[in-house]
This record gives sequence, structure tokens and C-alpha cells, in this order.
Amino acid sequence: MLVIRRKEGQAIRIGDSIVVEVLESTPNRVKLGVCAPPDVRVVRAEVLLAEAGNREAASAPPADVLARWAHRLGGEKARRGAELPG
Amino acid sequence: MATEPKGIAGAAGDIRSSSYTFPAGIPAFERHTRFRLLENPLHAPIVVLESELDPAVRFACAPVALLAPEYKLELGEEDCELLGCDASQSGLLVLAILTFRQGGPPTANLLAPVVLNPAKRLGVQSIQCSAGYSHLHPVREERPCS
Repeated sequence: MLVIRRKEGQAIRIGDSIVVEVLESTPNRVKLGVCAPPDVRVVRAEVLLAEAGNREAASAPPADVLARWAHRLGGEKARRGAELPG
Repeated sequence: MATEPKGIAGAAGDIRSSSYTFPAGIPAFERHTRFRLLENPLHAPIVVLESELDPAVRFACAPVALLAPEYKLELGEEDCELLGCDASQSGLLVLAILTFRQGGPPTANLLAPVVLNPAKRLGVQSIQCSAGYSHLHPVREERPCS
């Protein structure tokens, strides 16, 4: 991994068309500005994890599997404890 | 338009159904902006979020409070706007999407919980970047105290 130290207001360039600028830096987080062509997708890495997870989870299992795990999770009593409506 | 919960007669019992609008869809399913929350008493505490655009897109979910009692939700400005609420809003439902795989227990996505605002029938999948929650949180069986 290439490591580059930058300060607020400084930038790095990736290839000919992508610029990443450090807009703000605090002890807990860094605010970045990214300039990239419209066909380059720029997202937080966690979004990709969420996408992959959703694709894998998008077909809920059959009713018998849900019922089995519902029982293992504590059933109706657990639902009330977790304050689901109904 | 808000939809009141209604019962659906079926072999599995009375399934409560209520519709929620996800203005931004959810990651990888951005076109799916309307979901039904299906609550089957036989499957409690697990509920199902079913896309109205394509009912084959169905997510089994469980309350985050049940899976991770110490969980702390952080809602950013954008999520609050999509939910029509502020960050201190009470009464929000926080659900983790479950992934079932053959040969093992399911996992829960605590990194990106589904947050529902029943008062406005709005929903969002809120990515929690700063807390270090896993998208593959192991779901463990509840065991009675001995």
C-alpha cells in the first residue's frame, strides 16, 4: 500500500483525472473531497459491503427455517422485548 | 401514502403487513423503494421485508436490540432526512438483515441496519461507519439462564 502524508488543503492525484483533497482533519476523522469523472464510481467502502450483503440476503429462507430460528431466538417473548410493533 | 397494518389470513396465521417507503432504496437495490414489513407470529421475532416491486426480493430481519443489546445507532443528517426525523427521534425500529447459509447459523448485518420510522412509514438502510460493527455478526441461539 502506498502511504502519503497530507495536510488540510493538500491533495493527491490518481491518474490523469482523479483528485482527492483533504478538506478537514480532526483527531477522529478526515473529510475528503473527491473529483472524478462521472463514470468513476466513488463510494465509502462500507457501501460495497452493504451491497454484497444485501445481494446475498435478498432471498429470505423458507418458512420452516424462519420458524426454527425464530424459536431459537426466543420467539414472541423476544419480539415484545425488542419492541417490535404489533 | 401511509398504509395501516393489516392482517392477512393464511395457513401460517395472521400475518401483519405494513408498507414503508425507502426514498433511496437500499444498497444494490436502489430501484426498490417500497417494502412491506411482514410480521408472522410464528416467525417472531424474525420479520420479513418484501419488495413491492419484486416480491422475490425478501429480507429476513431481526431486531438489533435482540442481537446486540449494547448497540448504539448513529443517524447522520442524510439518514434523518430520509426518515423524516431528527437524530434523537424515539420509536424508530432498528432491524438487522439476516443472511442464511447452508450448514451454519445465520449472520446479521450490524454494519448497515434497516431503520424504520413507523410514524411516517419511511425507511432507510443506515451504514454505521464509525462504530466498527460487522456485516457478518454471528447470530447465536438464545439459551435460558440456568
